[in-house]
Amino acid sequence: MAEDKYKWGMAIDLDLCTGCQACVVACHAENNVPTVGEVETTRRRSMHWIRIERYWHGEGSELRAEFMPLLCQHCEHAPCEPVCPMYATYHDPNNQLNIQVYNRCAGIRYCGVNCPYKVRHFNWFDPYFPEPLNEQLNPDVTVRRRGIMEKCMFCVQRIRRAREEARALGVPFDTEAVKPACVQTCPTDALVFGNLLDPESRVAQLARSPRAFLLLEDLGTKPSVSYLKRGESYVRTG
Amino acid sequence: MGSFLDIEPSADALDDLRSLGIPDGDISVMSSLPYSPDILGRPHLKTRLPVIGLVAVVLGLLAGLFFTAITPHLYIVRVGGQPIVPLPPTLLLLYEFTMLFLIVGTFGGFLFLNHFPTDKPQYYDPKLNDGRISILVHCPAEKVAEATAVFEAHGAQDIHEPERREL
Amino acid sequence: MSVLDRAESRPGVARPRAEEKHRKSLLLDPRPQEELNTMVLEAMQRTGREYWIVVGVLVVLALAAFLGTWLYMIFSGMGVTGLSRPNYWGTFIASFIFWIGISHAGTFISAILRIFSAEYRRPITRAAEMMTTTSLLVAASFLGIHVGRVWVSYWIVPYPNQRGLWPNYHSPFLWDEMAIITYLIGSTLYLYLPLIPDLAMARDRLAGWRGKLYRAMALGWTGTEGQWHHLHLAIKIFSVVIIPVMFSVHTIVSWDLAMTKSIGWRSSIFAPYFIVGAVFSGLSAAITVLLIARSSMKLHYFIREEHINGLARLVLIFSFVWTYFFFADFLTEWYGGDAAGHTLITLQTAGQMAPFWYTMLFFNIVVPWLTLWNGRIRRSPIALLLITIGINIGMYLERYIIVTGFLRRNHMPFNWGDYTPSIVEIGILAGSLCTFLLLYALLSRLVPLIPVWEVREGQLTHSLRRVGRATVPTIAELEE
Repeated sequence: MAEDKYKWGMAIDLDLCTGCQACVVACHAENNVPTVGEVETTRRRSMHWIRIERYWHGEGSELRAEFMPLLCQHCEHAPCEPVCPMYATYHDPNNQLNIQVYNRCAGIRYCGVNCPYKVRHFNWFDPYFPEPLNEQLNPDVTVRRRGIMEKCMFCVQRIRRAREEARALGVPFDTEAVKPACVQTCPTDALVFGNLLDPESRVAQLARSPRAFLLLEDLGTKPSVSYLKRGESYVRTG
Repeated sequence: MGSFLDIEPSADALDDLRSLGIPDGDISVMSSLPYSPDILGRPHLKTRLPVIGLVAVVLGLLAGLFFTAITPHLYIVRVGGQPIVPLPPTLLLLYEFTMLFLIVGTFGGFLFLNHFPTDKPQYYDPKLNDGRISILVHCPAEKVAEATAVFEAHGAQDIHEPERREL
Repeated sequence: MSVLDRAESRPGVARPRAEEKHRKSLLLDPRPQEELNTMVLEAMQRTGREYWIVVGVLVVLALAAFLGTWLYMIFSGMGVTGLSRPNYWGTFIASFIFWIGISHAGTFISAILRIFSAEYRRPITRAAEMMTTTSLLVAASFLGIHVGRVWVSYWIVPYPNQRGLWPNYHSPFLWDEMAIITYLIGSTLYLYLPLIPDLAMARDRLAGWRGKLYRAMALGWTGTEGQWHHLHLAIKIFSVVIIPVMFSVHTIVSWDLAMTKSIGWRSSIFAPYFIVGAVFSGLSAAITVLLIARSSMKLHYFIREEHINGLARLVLIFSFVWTYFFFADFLTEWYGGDAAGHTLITLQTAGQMAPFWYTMLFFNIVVPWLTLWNGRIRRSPIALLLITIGINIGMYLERYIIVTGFLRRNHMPFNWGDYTPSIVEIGILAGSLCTFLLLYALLSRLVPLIPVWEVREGQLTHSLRRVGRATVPTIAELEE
């Protein structure tokens, strides 16, 4: 069985994002990401694999907020990959994903230091899933213990499952049907996911849009996530 | 026979012993300080330590090549868009492995060439550490009396038939 | 009687005043080797009540603050530290770099000063090398401390395993591993080689458990010409080889930081900057340790003003060089740096890190420049003790600012964050100092601290000669 090649990517339309954080919650549920509690959150140890970054602009009645969902950019030249002495993070050549291998991670946190987007998270303590949250854990995803780095992997378990189901049913693999938890949940369809190698896919078309830009492009990381510039948007306060 | 002298008398004694016809190889000099062969009028020694060091360097280069260039191919993992065997880190690690093997090889060569560590009884006198120089002479029985006379003439102390002793 | 002994014991001859002045120098004040041996062995065996009290306190502190806190952290998780996102590295890495820096003093004194034939190195090489070995062990332990899952950290060692996976040599951590292992083995062997003749001396004079220990460690050394020749050659090779290894170690440690995309870290000047900082802090620590060892072990015959003076002069020179590199780094960022880099400048000069920054400049620049040019201050043990401890505080702050300060700012302001070390991290740092002192205290009583044969060799080569109206010291070239 030949390994087909994919390059999974995402396009995020900043015009459509309302900052509702549904994607954050969905990611927690899908990937067994623990909640760390109020105290640890104030210490900046929350583990949202996708987070909504909020920047304030303007003053007074002109004050407005701008939201930007930030998740692992799955860089082609990922700075986090070469620095791990254990090969705990590497580039999957078939899916062009930046994969984190949990059982190989020794918690050196070099990858976290080197990520310019700061999208990597560390298990500072053992995860705590208070009842009945422990019954909601996804059996397809490992639960990590303390000392392990983790991050978004474009819900690789869903990608694998979709591919295996297609193979089992004998049908061609429809890459447009694969949706990570965040993409599936977004109410405004701001997140678009697909195979960038397929020029007809929605994500490839959006990546070619004149509104598209890459985050921190001049660092040379070559991310797989494109952002679409927003128009004017207002959130009035008071 | 072992005896104890200081620098000037030792050098004189060695000259006289040589003129007695005792070859340099049969005379052994022990001291608590390193004296250059020229000071005591002794022949320069050749040693194989540099060769051992060179062999160690080659082994180090090979070991470095193995770890940096061969092991990545045993289980190919792509990281950061870099080639499987990146040149600058490889050169750096070749340097480190070479240095490591050179260091260990030199020390090992030092041990090997001196037959260290050894438990066997040796010709020795502990009073060496007080700054004396001990001269041990292997000579045929007929020369013993003459050699003894040389020692006495230059003020040696503790002249006796040497025995191997536990250190 | 040797030439030297004869000269000084001629009865009835009044010593000229110039000779009295020269007698202050160790190598011009020869005594019979027997006496030197006795002095050194007595110093080594001096374990009075004070010693055991100090060792006891250090053991308790090391066990509680170092080992105990570390175990607590292993079983609770790294969360007990002050680390967070984006400050993934904190005092542990700063301490690691600091201890590696301290280790460079040993090699500098025993290898570089040997190659440059700086005669004042003779009595202090071994004490300095011992510092290198102990501080490297402490530094290596910090790598284990800093890691999230220390129980799997052995995967960094290349060995064939059932997964078939070898370590990642792209990573600067692996370069660290090889460099530190090479340096640790190299400096331990370099400590051991010149120690062998002194171990033989101790073996001959001591009985009991010490006699047995030294008999084993002296390897059967008898002092024949062949053995001396091999030793001499091996030491020469080592002293040449260990110098590039020493440079490479701190270069590679600095590249842990310089290979990243972090602002303020991505600097090509880090390699020489860190090496100079290392020798600077290492030499200061060497002076501190030597002063303490000298007074507690009564080694005043061996370690004299000239040695401390020589080291203090080097400390001043390295303060200049360090300032040069520091300024070059700062100026480049200040002048043409981008907005992200400028947040770091503000952070240091006027922001959170300002108290640390100014303290660092005070201890590293102001204090040495104002004091160490003066010969009287350089010869005063109390002053030097204070100055060198201050320099090490300043150098630790420098590592602290670079490692923990610069991580607080990055390219995306939403991800800026502050860092305060927790009691766990401070405890482990204090514990590491106690462990270093403890290891050194134990080692200093196990191994003769002064290389008697090297001192004696130096005394052999030094003599006084009349040139015109002056009596001057002359150094002979006696090596082959």
